Amino acid sequence: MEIKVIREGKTIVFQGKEDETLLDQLREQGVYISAACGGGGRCGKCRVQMIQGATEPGEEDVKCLGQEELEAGWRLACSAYPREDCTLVIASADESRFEVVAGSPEEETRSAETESGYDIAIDIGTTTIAIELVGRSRGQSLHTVTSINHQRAYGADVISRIQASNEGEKEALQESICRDLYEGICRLLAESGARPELVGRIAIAGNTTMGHLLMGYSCETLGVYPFTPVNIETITAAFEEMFASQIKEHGETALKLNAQVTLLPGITTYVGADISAGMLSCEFDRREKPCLLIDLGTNGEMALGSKDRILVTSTAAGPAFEGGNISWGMGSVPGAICGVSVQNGNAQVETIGNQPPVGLCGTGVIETTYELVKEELVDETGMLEEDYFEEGFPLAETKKGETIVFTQKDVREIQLAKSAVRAGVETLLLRFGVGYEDISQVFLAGGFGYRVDLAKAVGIGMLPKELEGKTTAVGNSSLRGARLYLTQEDSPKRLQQILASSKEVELSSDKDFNQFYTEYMFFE
Amino acid sequence: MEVLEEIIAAIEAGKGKRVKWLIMQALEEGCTPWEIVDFGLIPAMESVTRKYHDEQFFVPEVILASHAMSVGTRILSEYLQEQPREPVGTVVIGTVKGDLHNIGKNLVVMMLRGVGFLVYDLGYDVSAETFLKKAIEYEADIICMSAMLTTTMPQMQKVVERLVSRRLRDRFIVMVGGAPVTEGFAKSIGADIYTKDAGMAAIEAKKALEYRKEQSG
Repeated sequence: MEIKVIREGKTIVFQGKEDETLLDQLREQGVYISAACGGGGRCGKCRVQMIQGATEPGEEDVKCLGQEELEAGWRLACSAYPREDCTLVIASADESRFEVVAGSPEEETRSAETESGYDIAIDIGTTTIAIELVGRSRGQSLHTVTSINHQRAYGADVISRIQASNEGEKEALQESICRDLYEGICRLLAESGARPELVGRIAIAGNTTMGHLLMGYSCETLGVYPFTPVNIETITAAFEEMFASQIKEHGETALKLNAQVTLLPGITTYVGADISAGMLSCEFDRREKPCLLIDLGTNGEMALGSKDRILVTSTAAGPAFEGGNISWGMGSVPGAICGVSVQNGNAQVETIGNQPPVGLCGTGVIETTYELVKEELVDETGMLEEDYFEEGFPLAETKKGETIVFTQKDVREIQLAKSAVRAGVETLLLRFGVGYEDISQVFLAGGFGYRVDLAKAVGIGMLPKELEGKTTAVGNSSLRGARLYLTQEDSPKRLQQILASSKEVELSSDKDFNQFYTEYMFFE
Repeated sequence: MEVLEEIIAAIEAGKGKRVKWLIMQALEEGCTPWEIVDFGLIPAMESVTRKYHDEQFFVPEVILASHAMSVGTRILSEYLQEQPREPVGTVVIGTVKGDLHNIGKNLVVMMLRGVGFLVYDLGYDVSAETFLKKAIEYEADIICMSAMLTTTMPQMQKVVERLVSRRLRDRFIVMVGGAPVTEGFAKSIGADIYTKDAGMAAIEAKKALEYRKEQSG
């Protein structure tokens, strides 16, 4: 059986296997497609069009796809088992162009050529990866490269990655992240012109699951209570050891750095090194008055505290802020709608790079929700106006003439996500024993938090109005923490101090959290 | 009766205090406690379930409504004890081992009690062994399991496997639910009932038990 894949004009052909899903076979061939739910037949993101030899539509296909789509040969790759020669077209947006936030705007890059030595700081996010060249003389960021985390083919959130690892994909996941890092470092050095022999140290921050997958640790205990990690201490390894398989693969031409790699320490399974690094960069250990750090990603980690005491937690915000689980949702790629205004039932949209609209990214999701609530097209319980209830609210048209809509289900997804964040914040305040007025500063971290219109996030109730004036977007605080770790001598000690004063609050069985979670699901 | 209609409306609106007041009113007007259950609480729950299905209601409304309903069941329980009626059936329920999520499971508990089941709530992080032990101890008809994480879903399979290996599978109806659970998953582990939400769970549980009684009787 021959499977032919056409993507963006390129064709590859491979020998199909009867006992594997199309998604698995595509992954093996290195054909990347997004599978937000991890191949569970729920998110519909892995859809491909089988223009010849289409499989019989299954239960999952019928649920996720319309009649017209089914007739045109659209199937979910995760539940399709091709039995005969087939040809498929992958039209999904190429997420390799994901716009990733690395630093913050005020940081200028300098020429790399004048430096006598370099270090490299890395942030491994569940969705994206940022790699930064740091000059040793002034500890400055000289150049940054970003990419998506190709483990996304195994699921959008950490839980689906953990599950994939437990189901025998551990080595494949490790291989995937090592390749992303290795290739990213090669690109960083090539683009900046920095000489490889001058690279001394590499510091990596990432959530605990990312760390486990990189080190090849078992994830068996990460997904079940009491959520015990294998190792979240500081880990060091030689570059050539960590990237041995990449170096072997590239043979003669391989990049060999005489560098030491350090994986920063985390706090718990669900509050990892990315957050401890974030707290380092927000100087939690030097603050007299409590401040709040919120990472608005899929895991919604947050930390509240000052130099003596810190409470940390994570709240399952889900992938809605990154466009996941939203009908027309997608990552921050060119053409994704990122700004919306609605007047008299008509929407005006702005897209990334001013490209023709192709879907909706996280900020677009927030803006749409805010506008619909403001225009009273969504009521306080989250119900969409009757006229739009069936088909969804139309936002824009794609080049092909399809209507990009925001549906009732999408509003519900955002209600779940925003109330998870808000309830997390409220529970932390309650446990810490402080009110809004006691908080000196709020830091919004993460690519999404960076671009979001704060007033609109407050408008839908994701954050309390009282904290609006104290909030700043800090971009990738994890990456900056990793850089500080390399450049400031006392950083390792400070990081240990932060870890020692941090305590985790577990939310899923917390009565107050559950109460807040229900309460804040409404719109005010 | 008008007051029963009002009870339905108050439950839908999540108004616990008003439900309490209306029930006292209904009793004064001569309704029997069981009439209030059959023509007030149960139709209210069915209506909430229907609205959730039609996407008119979302999680918070359902939670508020079920709180209001539980206020009703609590008040009525005193009176109902004086005129006992056989429970529809007995259920042991819990969130599976490794999982601490409670909200969804608590909703199912309230809904099941609403339609007249005797429910033993085993809480969260419940091991397969505990499910079995308690089901046997309470002579349950139904074992109901919830999981909110894809990583804890396999625990449900463990329970079914143990039932099979101990030749107890036919004695219990196995129900599963929770956000990541699908019909397909339920089938694959050999569960009997899967529903998407708490209200349907109560309705389907009742149906399954009635069907079973017909078959055996």
